[in-house]
Amino acid sequence: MGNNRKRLYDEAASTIMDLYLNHSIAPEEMQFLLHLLDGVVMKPDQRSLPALLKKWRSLPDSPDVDEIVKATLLATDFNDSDQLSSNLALLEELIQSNSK
Amino acid sequence: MHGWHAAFLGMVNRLALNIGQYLSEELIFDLESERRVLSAMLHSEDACIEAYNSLSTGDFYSPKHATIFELICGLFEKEVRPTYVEILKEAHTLGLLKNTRDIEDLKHIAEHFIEDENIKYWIKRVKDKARIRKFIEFLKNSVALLESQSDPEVEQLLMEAEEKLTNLTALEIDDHVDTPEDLANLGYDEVERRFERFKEIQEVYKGVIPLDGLTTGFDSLNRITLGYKPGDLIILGAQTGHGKTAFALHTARAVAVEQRRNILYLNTEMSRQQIALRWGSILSAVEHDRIRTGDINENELNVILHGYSRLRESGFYSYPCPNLTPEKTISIARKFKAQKNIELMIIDYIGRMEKHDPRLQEWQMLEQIIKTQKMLAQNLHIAVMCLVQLNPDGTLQGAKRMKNESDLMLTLSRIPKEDLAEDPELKNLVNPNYYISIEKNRDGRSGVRIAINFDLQRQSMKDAERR
Repeated sequence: MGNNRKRLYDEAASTIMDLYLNHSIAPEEMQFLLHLLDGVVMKPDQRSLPALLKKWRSLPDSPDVDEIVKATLLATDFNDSDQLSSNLALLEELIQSNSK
Repeated sequence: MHGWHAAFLGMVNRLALNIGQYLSEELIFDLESERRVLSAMLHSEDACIEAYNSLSTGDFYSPKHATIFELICGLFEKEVRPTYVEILKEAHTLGLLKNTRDIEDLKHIAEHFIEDENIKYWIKRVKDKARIRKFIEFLKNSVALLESQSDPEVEQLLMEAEEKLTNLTALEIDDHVDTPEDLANLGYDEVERRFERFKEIQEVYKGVIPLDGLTTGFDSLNRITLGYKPGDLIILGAQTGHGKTAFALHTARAVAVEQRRNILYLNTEMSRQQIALRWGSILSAVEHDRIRTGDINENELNVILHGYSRLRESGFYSYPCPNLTPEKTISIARKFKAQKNIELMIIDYIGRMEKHDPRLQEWQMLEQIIKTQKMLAQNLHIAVMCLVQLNPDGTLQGAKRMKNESDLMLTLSRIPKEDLAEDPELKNLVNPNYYISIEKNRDGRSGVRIAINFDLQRQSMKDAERR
């Protein structure tokens, strides 16, 4: 990993943790963001979540869909690979149906 | 009290109080090195393996660093890659992160990244400082002891100090000198254990001797060796195309599939697909050539698939590595010992390992590899089996040196036609075609030949049964 990339990774992780300790984000939001960061930077084999988020952001604004996506992701146990893949599949379906 | 004695004690007191003060902080701890080791562990698996095996929490001066080291080791053992994020999550779960300052400290550590190849240098620095602190502790305790005794037994005092100092100079934790008492106790315990076991064999096992170690996969070899024991180096020699890999996988089947014990198999020649296909044949008894070409019927396909489901449940870990070096075997064995608690490592085969010093002759290189593997077996408390290639005339290059290092040396060779025609013992057996010869057996009989049946097509081996 290059120095800049590493510095970004360290800074981002520390910021997420700071936000949590300052009560700016909830514990499950902190867990999700850390997982996402590790998935993007350190574990290139776990690209399905970032890819899904990209698709979600390209949807037209829809508060209902946003709410479902957020609630599902925050309720996901990222250490449980079965639950993770089934939840991602559900969200994929939801995003697909809303992008038509 | 004489005036000079009081003055001397006063001086001793001052010395005791000041031992710590006289010494600079740089001498007794090195936080920079501690941070660099921890940071390297966060960034590289090789560094993690090295530090995991070389350091303990007690080697860190900073309690915070000791805790982080413990966290990293805990994640490593659970096979979670210890990234900075994982450490943050783990520290949060354990309630170790209370404020922004705690995060800053962790970040400060993560920033002290070093390259992999420097890790041994920084580990040594951390370890050396820990030893210096132990030495200072020894000096302080010695001064306190002197102070507490007005008329000490000098000989006794010096002897005790010498023993403590000797322990400090021992580099490895497992360096241990047995006293006569230790050895006598050990001998007594071992004999008593064997006496009890013999009684148990007679009563419970009806005369069948249980093994001391892992099964060899052959009843006759089990009886002679009592199994492959932790710390054993086993060498198996055979000519090209005469069953080295089949023997290795037969052992793997007996240990990892039948007994579900964890083993690591390092192969320098075969691809993942080739190893997987061999297992298909071994676990289904369908000919290897037919599996390779796909020339099998529905029924055989089901049998083969059932075989793979047994492999799935087994403790067989495979690491195909065409450019294997002795250093790599150390690193990978340590990792699998820590994460999977392997009990046996098989190297198939050492002749294909890369030379780490091009100036060495072939036999010198083999000797070094074998020495490394023996040390590895003892340090990790596992059995290590090395496969070696015999010359066309059945001899082994550097055989004498290899024999010296090994605990058990076996060769696998085809039974000569004359023996099959003339030996009455062999005539009483069903299809014997190969000998396992025990060239050396540190714990028992050697110079013994065991007749087996080796089915090359089905990749199976078994004791040749009596008619």
